[in-house]
Amino acid sequence: MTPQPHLESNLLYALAICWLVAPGVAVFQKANVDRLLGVILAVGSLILLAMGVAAFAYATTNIALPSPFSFAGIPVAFRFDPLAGLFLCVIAVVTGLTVPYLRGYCSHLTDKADMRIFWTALSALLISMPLVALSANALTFLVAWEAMSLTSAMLIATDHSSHSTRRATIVYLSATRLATAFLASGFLWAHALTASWTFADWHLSGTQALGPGVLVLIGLAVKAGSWPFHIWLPIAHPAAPAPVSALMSGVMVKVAIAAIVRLFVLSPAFNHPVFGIVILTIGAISSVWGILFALIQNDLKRLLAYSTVENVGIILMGVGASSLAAHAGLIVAARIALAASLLHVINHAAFKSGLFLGAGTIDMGTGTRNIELLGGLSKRMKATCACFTLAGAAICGLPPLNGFASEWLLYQGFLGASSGAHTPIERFSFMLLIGILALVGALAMACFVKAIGVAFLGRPRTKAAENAHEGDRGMVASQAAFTVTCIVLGLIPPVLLAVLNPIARVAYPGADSVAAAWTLPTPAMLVTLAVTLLAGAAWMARTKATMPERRYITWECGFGALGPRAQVNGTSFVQPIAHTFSVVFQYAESVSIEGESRRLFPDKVTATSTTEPVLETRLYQPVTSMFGWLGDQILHLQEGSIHAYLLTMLITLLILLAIGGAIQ
Amino acid sequence: MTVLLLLIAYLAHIAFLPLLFIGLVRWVKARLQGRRGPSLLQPFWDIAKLLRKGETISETATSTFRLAPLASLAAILAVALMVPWLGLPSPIAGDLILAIYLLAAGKFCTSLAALDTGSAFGAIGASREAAISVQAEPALLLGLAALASHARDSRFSALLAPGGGEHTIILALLVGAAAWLCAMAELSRMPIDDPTTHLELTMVHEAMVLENSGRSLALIEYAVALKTVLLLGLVSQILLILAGNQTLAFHYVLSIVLLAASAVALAIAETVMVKLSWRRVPNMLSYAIGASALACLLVAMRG
Repeated sequence: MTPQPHLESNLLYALAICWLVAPGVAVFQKANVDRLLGVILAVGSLILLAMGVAAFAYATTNIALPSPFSFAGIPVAFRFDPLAGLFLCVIAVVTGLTVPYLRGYCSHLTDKADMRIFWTALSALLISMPLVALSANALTFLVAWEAMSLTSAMLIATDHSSHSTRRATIVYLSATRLATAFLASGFLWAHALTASWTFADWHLSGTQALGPGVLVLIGLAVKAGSWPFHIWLPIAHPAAPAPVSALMSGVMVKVAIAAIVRLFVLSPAFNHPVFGIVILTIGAISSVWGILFALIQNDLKRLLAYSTVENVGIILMGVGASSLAAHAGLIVAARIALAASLLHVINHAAFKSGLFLGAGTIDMGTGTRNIELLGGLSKRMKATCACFTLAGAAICGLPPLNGFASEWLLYQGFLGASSGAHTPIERFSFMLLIGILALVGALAMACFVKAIGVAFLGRPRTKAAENAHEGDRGMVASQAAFTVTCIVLGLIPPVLLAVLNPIARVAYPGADSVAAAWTLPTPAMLVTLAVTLLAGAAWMARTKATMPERRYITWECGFGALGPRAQVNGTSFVQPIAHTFSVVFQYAESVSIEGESRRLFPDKVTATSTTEPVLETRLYQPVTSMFGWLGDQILHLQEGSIHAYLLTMLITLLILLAIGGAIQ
Repeated sequence: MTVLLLLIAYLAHIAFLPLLFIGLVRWVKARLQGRRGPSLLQPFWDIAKLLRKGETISETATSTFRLAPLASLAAILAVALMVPWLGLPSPIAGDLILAIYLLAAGKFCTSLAALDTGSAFGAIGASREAAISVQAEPALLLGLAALASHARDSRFSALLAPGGGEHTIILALLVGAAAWLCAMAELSRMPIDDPTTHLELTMVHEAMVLENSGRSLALIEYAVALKTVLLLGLVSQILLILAGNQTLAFHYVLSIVLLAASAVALAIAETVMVKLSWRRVPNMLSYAIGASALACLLVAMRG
């Protein structure tokens, strides 16, 4: 037993006190206390950041809470190591940067929702997420995990006056129940095999690892939002308040990924090559599936939710490839792939949180999230437009922003694995993954060009878009902070890799640092871009006075004053791609032309396109309706007939006796 | 010192080669059509004229529209200094993924600019550009990745180096074919799109730049010309893997000859071929994906 490390435990207590004060303030103070709550949350995230840095800086330490905090003799225990430190830092930074946003955004929630519940659930979520990442044993993990799931469900239900929010909460809750059930049974199984609840004691390998490993992996994949368990994301995110979406998408799904990395890659509790293949496969499917469905969404937050599915897929591809490469003995490639996925965790937290906050600002400023009702927002929401565009470019992986760094590194991992693998099939599969990643990148660009172009550019399509108003200073500051983070993270990947190296080294011991893999000529590229842009801008500014410039309407074939409806909208922008991939989402178009002489002088032309969320309609709906049917059948028992009740009791008793006899 | 010399050499070629190439294509095409054709230097005069003219800008357009041509040119210029398209080592040690993603960044800017004016033409062009990229980008990256996997390095200097091993001819031809098809698609050349028409049913790039005039149009025209020589130069370099280890001068001369040959090939294709129906473009691009996948399979089998 290591001596109680005072720094970490004190920080832990300080964090607990700080974030427990917040609900107290919210509940007992009637006046508007948003500002005070913001300060408390900011202090809490600073403490969390200190904890993260401490976990990084010092050797791995374990903390077990004193005696009342235990489950039947198993203490509540935490483990501070670099992996937990990384996730603590991500949680801290995302929370800290979201804080300025809260005040402005919550002002529009106060008349719809009980803010005391909002603040209580928010602070409970913020304390439970770090605890999940820190948990040292399965029982602590499950309790923190449940706290995280339930508080986030409460946050989704903030505005529970609308039907869609209540439905979203139910869907989300059932997803979390499913996740917890799988996790708990996996943990019980692992406990039965190892007689220990502590993660560090689990070293299952071979076929023994398969059973509990699969259960745990499913539980974690549900929470991470990986295919085919992602269906809660596009339903829950549009319902949740924007800062909550930012936290859930930027941070909460990553906590599940932290657990996957810890249990399957870093000193694996479940060690079997199958897990690498499974994680890689669901990652690859998630990324393509997620971005294809993101592409056809017109609700901005739904689009972002599907894009989270895509990015979780990219992260899981890295984790799976890393595990597979390690099993094939390719330590360098394994380390690069792991570093790539951890780097993508950081990067995705930065740009996705910023994008969700942008979507929230649009929602507040116009009253709608449907991009087909927007347009031309860039004139009235300049700051939000600039932030959203840059964060959108970052999420597409465009250099020199941060998304490129992690995607490039993942390509390097795949390339290393493909040139080093021993069998042709492995080499070919890794090369195909390169193609899949490139496809995902191109689709992401189409998706975000559409989102930015239709929502912010062009002419306003409705009155709401015309009268849009920018968020307050705090909201803009938050978005700008995330955007600046995206830019800065894109400039310092070698530094980040040096920071991630300790984690990669825990997983795959060895001498060379992953930072050595960074061979890009970033400075030369930046100089070229900067020189061209500055020279061009200077030339344009200098000649501006001498060049006549005329403002005129957009060319519309001489019809004159076509309305804003003549613009391309979200559905028509993606039509060619949707047509190419029509199999995936059952895309169908129908055109009807009415009028006497239909061909030459149509009175009315209607064109509609339909898509179908295949997984929901073909898999989940039949299953849920089957349960509904079963419920109806069981209902027959409860028709008020005492004879039926007595018979049921008798049959139950007999069955139980029979089972008892069989077990004896 | 060498880097400086290479930089000067590349910048000198970047200054005149793109427009000369466009002039050559137009001249050959005119000859094939029985016309005398404009001078080889005509594109230079066109650009010079555009640079002197004022601009007409849509009332809807914002700063995105004004900045995009410059940003896209900057991205393409950076790629032109990274890809060894002249047969000489590039002044910046380029990486294939960085190069393709930088080109994508350029497309991101021009697509947003096309949407910025609220014109249906521009938006449909941008939509088609995105649809083409969805197939062309993975095909190009996958094909070059086959070479990179063979070379165990994603830098152009390594993956375009003449490596030993069996079936190099087939590998280079497959990747070269994929890259050529992707280049045609990315550049909106025949048979994907006809750069000389302004028929709204077909056009991609021409539709996207419909609202641009004056200086910004000059920047765009030049950037497209630069991207043309850059991508076709890259195809030449893939084919030059077959030439084996030769002197730099030999590589340089052969690269220029191949560039001229591709100009003639483009002109012939644009004279004799009919443009594909838009709905059949994905079919054509699937040949590029197929060729790239075959190249990967070849590398995987060879080990």
